[in-house]
Amino acid sequence: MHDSKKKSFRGTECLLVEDQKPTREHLTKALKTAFPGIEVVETANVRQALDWLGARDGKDKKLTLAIVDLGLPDGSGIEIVRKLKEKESEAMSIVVSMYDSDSHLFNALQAGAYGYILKDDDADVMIDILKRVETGEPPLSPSIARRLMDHFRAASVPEKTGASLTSREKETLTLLARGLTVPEAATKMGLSPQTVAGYVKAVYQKLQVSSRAEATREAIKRGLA
Amino acid sequence: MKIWDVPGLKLGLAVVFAAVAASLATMTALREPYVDFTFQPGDILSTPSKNLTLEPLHLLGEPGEIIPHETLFRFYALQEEAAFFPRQPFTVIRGHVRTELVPREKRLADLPALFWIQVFVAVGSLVISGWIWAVKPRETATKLFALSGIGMLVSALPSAIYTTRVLAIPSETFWILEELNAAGASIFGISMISLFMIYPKRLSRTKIVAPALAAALALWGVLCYFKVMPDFLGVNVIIVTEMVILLGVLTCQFFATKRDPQARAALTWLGLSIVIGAGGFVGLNTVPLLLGTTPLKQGYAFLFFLVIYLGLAAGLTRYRLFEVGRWAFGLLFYAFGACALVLLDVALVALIGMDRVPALGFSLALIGFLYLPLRDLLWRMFSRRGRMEPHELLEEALHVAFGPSSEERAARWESLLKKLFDPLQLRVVEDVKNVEIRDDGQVLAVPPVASAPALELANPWSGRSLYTRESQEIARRLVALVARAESNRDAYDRGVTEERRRMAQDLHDDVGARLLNGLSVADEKTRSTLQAAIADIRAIVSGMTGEKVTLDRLVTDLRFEATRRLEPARIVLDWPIGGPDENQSRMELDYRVQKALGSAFREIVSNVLRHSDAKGVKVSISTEGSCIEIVVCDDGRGFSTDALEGKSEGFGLKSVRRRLTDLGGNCRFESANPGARVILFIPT
Repeated sequence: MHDSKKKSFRGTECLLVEDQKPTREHLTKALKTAFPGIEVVETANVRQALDWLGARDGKDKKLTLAIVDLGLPDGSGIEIVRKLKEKESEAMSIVVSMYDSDSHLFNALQAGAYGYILKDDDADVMIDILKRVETGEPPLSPSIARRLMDHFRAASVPEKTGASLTSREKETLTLLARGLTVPEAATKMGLSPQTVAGYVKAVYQKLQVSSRAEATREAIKRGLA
Repeated sequence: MKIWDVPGLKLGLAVVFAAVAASLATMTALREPYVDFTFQPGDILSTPSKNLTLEPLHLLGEPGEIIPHETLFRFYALQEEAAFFPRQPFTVIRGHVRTELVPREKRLADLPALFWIQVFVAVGSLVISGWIWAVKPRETATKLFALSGIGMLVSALPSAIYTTRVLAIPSETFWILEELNAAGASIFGISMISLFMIYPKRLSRTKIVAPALAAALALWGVLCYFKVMPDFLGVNVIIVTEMVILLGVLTCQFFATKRDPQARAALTWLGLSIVIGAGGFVGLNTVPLLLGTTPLKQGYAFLFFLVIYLGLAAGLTRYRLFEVGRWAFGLLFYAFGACALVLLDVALVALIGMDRVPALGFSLALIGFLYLPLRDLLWRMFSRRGRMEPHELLEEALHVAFGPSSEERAARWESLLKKLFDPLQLRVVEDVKNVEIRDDGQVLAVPPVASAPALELANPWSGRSLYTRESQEIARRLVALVARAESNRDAYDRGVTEERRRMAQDLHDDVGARLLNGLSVADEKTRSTLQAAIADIRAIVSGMTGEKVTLDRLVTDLRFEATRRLEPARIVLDWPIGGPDENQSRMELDYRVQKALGSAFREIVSNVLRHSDAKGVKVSISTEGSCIEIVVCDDGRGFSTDALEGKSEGFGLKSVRRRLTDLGGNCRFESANPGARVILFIPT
């Protein structure tokens, strides 16, 4: 029952965008512990990260992961997350933040982030989250699950892009909103954890798609696109 | 705006009409000369010029009881004969007794109870049916009902006059009264039948059947009038026939209302009143007449009809008869009040007229200084016209706009409107943009304001008046004032929230950033303190900018946090989550409780992570009434004896205990052999 989606990050690259040196070192250490053999590219602000992304071409090593601080001195990490989604859709973005408020993190999710780490987390918590990302099970906090449910409930425009959730996806979110972890929810639903994690990923994707569609609509409305 | 549309005016008209009719009847009754004597058949009336022996037919109360035409003609002739005697003094000879009688003018006190009973029935029926019509003048049903009331009046008043006659009424007068009585009964029957063909439900083919039936019955009555119909098709038979038809129509209605329980209830109530009322009369008076047995006196039998109208008034609200609501009573009470005032006036006039007051000047002074002011006070008590000064308007507007919740504001707005305009009805409507007058002044429409929906106010000042330009202006100004006050309050609220958000941001960014910096170079001991500090900042910030949190939300968030921290340390968390808990989802925690519980729990988990060496942690949360209890148990090293005795508590545990006790709760540390148990208790 090996998860075919399990990625190995050995020999791949990870983009780290963090302006504070001590935190940067902390994160690099955690990354190297969680994924032995991974190469960490350290940048300190939005400009540096975007430049680096722009300079990449097909010859470079595969970019599998990005750890992006939301509070950067010359902008918000969300820009980078969005750019990553455009250019390197294979890479999974994780945002680092001091806030765990769902409003703050929801924007990041909408832009394409996969999960979040809190800046004051212990090393082993960070490593645990990173490992889960690798196996395809990003942890989803109850408040974000609630936020997701509200978002999809309120989606008023019928989308061809498939922005409404299937009943299994809704069930997953409901259980997660009640505080169950993914494995616990899987037991309750009678499925494997990987399947349920797949639902979570699907929800994220739909969120990103509907957010992009929303943004485009807004832009058209304002005559920008 | 037609002044005619004021319901109060319509009711007033009905009352005046009834009063005038009753007065006319009384005056007519008083025209008969009076002798204080009860006549019997066999009495011989004697004057120097004439003699008359009384037959039973002379003293017959109700000529309607007579069926054969010839007997009826004879009756009138006898009446004419007997009426001669009371015009001058005459003698009555009964057996051997001779009594001299001197007729005098009849006085009010001479009219017997039977007279007043019938007048009461007549007036009551017309006033009640007129009331319903005044309240809903456009409905055909109410018009027909009012017509039945008129029919009752036209039937009962003449009956009152002749059934209480002393001896005889001149035949011409008598004959007119008798025909009026019959006509009134017919009008009553026809209008009742027509009414129940359209109410509660319009029966099929009513458009054709109802007028045809009405015309047929009316024709029959007219033919009886012209004495063209044979004896066995006389007036009494018309009445019984109408009763039977009415019962038939009621039965059809019963089936027609099968699927409409409200209409069925209204029908049952009204139908029952009619069956008892009209049926009582017909059963106890008309049918015995036809069968030849002794009927109940017509005068008393009329009381049964009153049952119908009283039944209507009693069941009006409960069964929503004629779709009229409780508010119709407001109109009626106003009418009673006005009548009472008028009667007071009349009584005073009569009193002053009867008593011998020395000087006209004195009586005028009495009226001017004593009575008129009192009367004005009483009138103003009835009027209660809400006139507000400008400063009062502002005060009221502010009171509305600063209500603590949107429901409260909406409620205050409605009660202000009620106070100002005293409408009979207040309805929620849609789509009103500006204050406007509708329905020729009967309705004022007000746009949505103060979290309340758009409203329509009908019939101001308990239906006594109409909305004018002035009311519209006042309402417009009020709406503007309240809207302005609300937007100011909104702006203020937003300012406060914005300010708080900025403070929260500063706390996060400045203090939090410094703490993070410290965290990166901290050793183990300091690390936990700094982390706790950052968690505290998060909790404070969310408390400053967020809304109240329910217990079930707090529990899910704490559980997630605990899992997040314990799993990487390979500590198993045993915290069963069942289905959605009703109690917990309803308990709203205010900021202090939320913070205390959150921080306490976090501190305990930190302790487990750092000191306990535990393999598993068990958590249970329960509520008892409005108290919350959290029990955390681990299987690690347990508390040192010092800790249990409260001697060596670290800063974290100390602050946990302090926060809980501040809120009236407590925390207990126990040994769980093996391991430690912490019990947190907090009332809310």
